Amino acid sequence: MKIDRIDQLGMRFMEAHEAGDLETMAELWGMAAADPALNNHFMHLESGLMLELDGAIEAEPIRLTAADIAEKLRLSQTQYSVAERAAVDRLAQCEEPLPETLTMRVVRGLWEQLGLSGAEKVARDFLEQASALMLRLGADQQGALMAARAVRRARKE
Amino acid sequence: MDRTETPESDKNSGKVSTSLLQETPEASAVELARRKRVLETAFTESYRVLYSMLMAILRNKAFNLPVATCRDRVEDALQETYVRLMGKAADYDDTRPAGPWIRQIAYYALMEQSSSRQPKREARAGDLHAKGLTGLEELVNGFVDDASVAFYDQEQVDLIRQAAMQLPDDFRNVVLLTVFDGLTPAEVADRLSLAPGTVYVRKCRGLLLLKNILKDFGIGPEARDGSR
Repeated sequence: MKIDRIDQLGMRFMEAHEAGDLETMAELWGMAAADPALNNHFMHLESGLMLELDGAIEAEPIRLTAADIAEKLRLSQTQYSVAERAAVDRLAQCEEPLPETLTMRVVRGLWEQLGLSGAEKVARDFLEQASALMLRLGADQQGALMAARAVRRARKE
Repeated sequence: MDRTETPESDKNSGKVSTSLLQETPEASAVELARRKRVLETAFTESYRVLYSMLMAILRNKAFNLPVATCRDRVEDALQETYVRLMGKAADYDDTRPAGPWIRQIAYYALMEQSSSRQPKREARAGDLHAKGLTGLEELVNGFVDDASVAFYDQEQVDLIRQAAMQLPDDFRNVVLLTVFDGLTPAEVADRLSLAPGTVYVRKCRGLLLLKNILKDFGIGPEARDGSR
């Protein structure tokens, strides 16, 4: 018969998760930070719980914002002129959800709304990035976008 | 399964000496920026899982909050997690995975937001006995001091197995294979065509159920201590 310390801590993890005991969860992860075997065990438990949660936790359907796309444009390392970089910076301030269907006409409307003139290259790249993001907006991508938004909010504050 | 006992909390919780960051201001700034990038990447990779786990905790009966409130709290807690991570980047030991540290901070951040709604602490698995279920393991592995106790303990093993047979199918199979037959979770996952994570979860839940059944049987470490 085999029940060891890690099994006990796993049971405690499960009980704390189900009882909503945040302090114990924090303490257990603190222990796991210094204990690879325990970390491995908890990661497996977490992945098992995630399988159960899939579909049960209704993440709010994420709508792309201009700021999401601006971040991608910044990361793409495309060479932009000073004026084009300023346009990207302006887009990065815009956290309003974009329409679900994005066309060049919609992008031009956004340009007008934000007072962006020219920057045709940015507009084309913006539409391309947005379309690509919308196509692959799976759970992982949503998580990455939500994390990026948390980072942006934290930096602003 | 190869598991080693590791001393933990007094050693560290993801932290390390900052000596490297003090060599020169330039090296320090470069190293700090690198650590921040590592942490930001780990934060991004952990975000979806953490979001779901924290939402699940807030949505369960212990808190029973509206969905919109849960989302706001979880998003705020995760934003606060990022702020604290960046603030502690100089202390981060990047020879260790950042995941557990990020999770520790996130649970604390959520707890601080919800302090007035903390559920009462319930009895925990490890509270079953001074040694928790390790006491039980010692009992049935023959770590006993005389033959009469060993005989008594062997009787208990049979009772514990009987108790395990009362578990619901999903839990029984996993508990029998891992606890009594000594298979690893990976082997059980393969045999039962389950995801490894599901095996870990079912084993834990099965052991928690078994603990309660054993109480009804009147056996376990507490009963043994009481009989002496």
